[in-house]
Amino acid sequence: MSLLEIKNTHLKLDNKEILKGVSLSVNKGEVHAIMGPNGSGKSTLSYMLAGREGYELETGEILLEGNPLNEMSADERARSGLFLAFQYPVELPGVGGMSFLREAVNSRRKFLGEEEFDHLGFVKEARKEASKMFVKDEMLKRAVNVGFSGGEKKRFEILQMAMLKPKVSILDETDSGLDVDALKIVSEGVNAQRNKENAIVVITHYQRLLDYIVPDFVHILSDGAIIKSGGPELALEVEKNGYAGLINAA
Amino acid sequence: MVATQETIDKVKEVSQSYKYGFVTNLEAEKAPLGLNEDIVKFISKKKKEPNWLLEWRLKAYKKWLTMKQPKWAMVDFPEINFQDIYFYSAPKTKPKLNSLDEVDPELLKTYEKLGIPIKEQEMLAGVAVDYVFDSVSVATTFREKLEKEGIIFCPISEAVHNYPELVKKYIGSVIPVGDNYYAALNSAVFTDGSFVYIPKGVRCPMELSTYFRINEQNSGQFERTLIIAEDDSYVSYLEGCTAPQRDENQLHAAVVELIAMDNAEIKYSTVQNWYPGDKDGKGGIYNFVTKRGNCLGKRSKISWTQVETGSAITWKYPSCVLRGDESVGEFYSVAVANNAQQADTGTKMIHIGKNTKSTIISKGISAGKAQNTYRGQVQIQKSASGSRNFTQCDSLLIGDKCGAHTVPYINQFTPSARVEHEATTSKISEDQLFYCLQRGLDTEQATSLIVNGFCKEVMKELPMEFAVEAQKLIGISLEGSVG
Amino acid sequence: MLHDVKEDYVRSIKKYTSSYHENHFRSLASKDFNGWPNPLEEKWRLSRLGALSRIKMLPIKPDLKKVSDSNKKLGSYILKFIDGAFREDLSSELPTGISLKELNEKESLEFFHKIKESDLNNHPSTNVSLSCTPSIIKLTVNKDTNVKELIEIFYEGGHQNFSVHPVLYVELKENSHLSLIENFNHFTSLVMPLQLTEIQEKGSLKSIKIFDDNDDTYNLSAHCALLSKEATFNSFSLVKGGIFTRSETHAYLNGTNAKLNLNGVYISGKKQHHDLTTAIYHDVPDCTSKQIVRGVLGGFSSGVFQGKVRVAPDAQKTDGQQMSKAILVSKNANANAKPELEIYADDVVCAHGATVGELDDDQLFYLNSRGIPENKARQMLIQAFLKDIINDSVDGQYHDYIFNEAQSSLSSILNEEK
Repeated sequence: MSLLEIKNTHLKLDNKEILKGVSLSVNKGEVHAIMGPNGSGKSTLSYMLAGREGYELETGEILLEGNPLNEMSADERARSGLFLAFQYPVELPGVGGMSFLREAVNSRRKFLGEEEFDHLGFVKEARKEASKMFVKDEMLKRAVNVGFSGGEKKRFEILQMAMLKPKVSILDETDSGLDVDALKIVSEGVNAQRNKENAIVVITHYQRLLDYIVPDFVHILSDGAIIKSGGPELALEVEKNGYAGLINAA
Repeated sequence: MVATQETIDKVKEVSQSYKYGFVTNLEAEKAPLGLNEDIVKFISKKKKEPNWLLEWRLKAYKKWLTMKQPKWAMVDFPEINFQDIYFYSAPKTKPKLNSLDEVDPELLKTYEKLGIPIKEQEMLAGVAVDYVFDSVSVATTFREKLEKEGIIFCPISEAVHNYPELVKKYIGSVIPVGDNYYAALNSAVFTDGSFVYIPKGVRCPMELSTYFRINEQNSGQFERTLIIAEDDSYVSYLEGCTAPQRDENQLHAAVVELIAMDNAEIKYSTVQNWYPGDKDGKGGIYNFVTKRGNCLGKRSKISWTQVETGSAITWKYPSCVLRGDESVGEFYSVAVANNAQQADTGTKMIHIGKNTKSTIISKGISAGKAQNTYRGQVQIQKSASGSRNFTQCDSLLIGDKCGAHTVPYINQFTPSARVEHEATTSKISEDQLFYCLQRGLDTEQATSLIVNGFCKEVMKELPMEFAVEAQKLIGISLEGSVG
Repeated sequence: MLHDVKEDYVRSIKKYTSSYHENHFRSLASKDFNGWPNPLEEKWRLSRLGALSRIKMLPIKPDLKKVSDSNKKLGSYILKFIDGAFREDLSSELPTGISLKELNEKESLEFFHKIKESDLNNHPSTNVSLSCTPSIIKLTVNKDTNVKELIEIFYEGGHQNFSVHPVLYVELKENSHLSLIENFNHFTSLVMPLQLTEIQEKGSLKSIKIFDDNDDTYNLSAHCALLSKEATFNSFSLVKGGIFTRSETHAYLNGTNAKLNLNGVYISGKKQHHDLTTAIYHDVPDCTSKQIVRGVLGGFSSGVFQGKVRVAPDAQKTDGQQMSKAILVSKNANANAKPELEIYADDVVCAHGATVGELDDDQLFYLNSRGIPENKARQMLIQAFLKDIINDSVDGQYHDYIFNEAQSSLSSILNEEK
């Protein structure tokens, strides 16, 4: 049984069909990359998986560990182990980083039947993970994403991923707006979490990120459907020939 | 109230709807229905008041008769029939209590249900409590500790007897009898409230607090509080109230007067969750309160911090008159209106002295079909050169059937002062909600988190004990508003 | 005695209209005028008309032989109103695509009803001017017409102890464009200009108003603007004259994606009282409104800004911004601001800010430290304060002109303070 199963999904936005039969199987321990030009439906796919309102499937199924996600609300999916690292993380004025993290982590733990962290215990845990992501204590005291630079926002996303320990993580253009140093830190953070039990789907349209987070499989998404799949060398092909070449050939 | 975890859990156990909805079956001694000169005399007699106070009440009553119910606020309610209200009601088992052991066990049970066992007070980190039960103070704890410092903290009815010169000197000095309709009414029929006096140079060692509770059907609450802080003194006063479920609207027209002398500071915090009425606006408390602080002394400071989540109708403008040079006035408020609640609240900062400073941070949250209005006035008189005001009033709208309104008045008469006012209106964005949902928080949790973030600037001004209860209160009062 | 004076004016209005049929728009309007607004009325609390009500006045009978010496200042085409009456003999022929006419009885009645439906229905200028105006003049721009040239209107004349009543109706048909500049230069006790502007779908109007009546004049201007779908209205008012000028504008955004910029500057000195009162009604979704108001007050003057923005329950995605700033340059001046928000929809972006105060110390010091003396430094900063908003509000070709108009008043105020 695959960890994440996307079966023939169709989705319309404003009466226009965006996903035209996307299918994908992601197994435990795998890293899949989804690449595609602008407008191919990448963000729509990630919102659809995460369960954002307005992004419901017309037809098709999505299963996490065999459980259908279609009927689950966004927060239920999250607690079940689905994580989305946003391309443009939103600001939450007045909401302290540490308390936000604690609430999220405890919600997941409660769902799993694990013991929730108390205030002090959590702070210890958070600091440990934060230092790995070069997220300073001071940043955790600030309001979530308020006044954060692009790099700080992405690092905070990956810190959340590290603390929530999801089954499936979807990274939506995590590399956008990052300089080389930030890219390295973020990638190291992601790689540190790869293990045999979870899976990661990296959405990007530049090949560069995939030098750092090396995928097992690469899929090309174009105009709402996966037109080609292959190994990491497919990413290099895109780099060399661009999307146009591949799309025409398909 | 100091809310321990035990208390919070106990409160949670009570039913889903208004948590404090129940009635105590104590026989109450009532004055006959309605209001006239005889009732005023009855109240004064019951309290064995000196003649000067009776005269003062009668003057107020006569003034009230000449005034009309004000209609300018953005709130809608049926005219109040003052002849249909009991103006005095006290529990038969009467206090002259020195220790908690003498308190009526029925009453103690009442307070236990409310989640604040009196016994708990003794163990908690120094919070003295002046319980008010239907117009008569019942117990006052920690009086001995305070007396050692020379601090007076007692029911106002007692202060009238024991410290008449002080009361006579200051009562009505901040809010004169004819100030407004409800202040005149209160001056005529007030039955009790707190009197606090902090002598020169004393810093009150503990937070002072009091409870209110309206019980009797048709009885209004007319509390009168007077706080005097002499030179170089400090006091922090907490006011928190709960009320039982009722079908008739109940009127709460309190008056609070604060006086701060040179270098004195008074911090007045309120967490208010009177019964707000049902989903359709039936029942619920009318909270028409007049609160004002006189910064008489140089470099004196008065801060009002409030979290208002209850009442069917809230109409109050805690204000500061900044007379002393370099005095400071502050107003921090979170006002929540849900379902059919209506709130028209705000503040007035009147700058008279030189280099005075005022800060206003008001956060209004509207949900359901509620209407929430911020009404503020900043007046910088000609004498107030070098003064500064900063106002930030933000409104958060939850759902598309409620309203948020801002009506600020800025009157400036001197060039060297600076007034800045900012107001924004927004809603909880879908992006913010989705972000929280994707992190596993459900809709209620997400809303509560975002709303509390919205109110953070105000919440951090509350004494710690109140802050926790206040946060929970906001969450509870918004239940059912999102999703 | 005072009572008599007030009553006299009311009576004289009624007498003026008595010769008209009772269903004539004039008679209907006069029925609704029973005196000046009470100072306790919320909208008039900050601008009291007590002194005005003590002046003996009669509505003027326009002198059709009177001429004025105003010249083309900016506009390519001139329209003149003297004593409130339109003077064809002193006005230009209009270019093609735009026409002018006097409304007949039926049309006047329709105009009357339109204004009465707005929140200006009880404004004294609405009722008195509709009673006493010589005629309602309508300017119509045809569909799809872009009038490239600036049309300049002069409102002049009047006389001591008389009131003047110009009434103008401007209609921009679909997809048309017009630029207007209106100058108010009366020598009279009272002028009550009334205007209705209707901008149909995709129409756009740019309007500049300069209120520069003489030192004893009361000007109570009332303006109702109705915007349809995708209409644009850019309005800028410079208030500098008169002993008491109140420019009141009520704008209704009735069609989606309408855009409104309602900016103003007032420069007040001596004992002047300047009032900019506006109300913007977002009744439908997706509209944008922006208001920037700046004031400089010297002498014993007083300034008032009352700005209301009301967003109806279904007017989602409204963007309403408002910013008012006033600088006091004398100890005896005062400023009052009342920016009001009444919001019933939740998916909106509404913000307003107001500041009243003096010049920034840091900025002053910066100039001082570069050798610039105090007075000059103050002048520079105040000029910058005004230049900013003028440049944002009017087309490039008018910047200098408007700025000079502002500057002349500014200099006299600053000189007074020396």
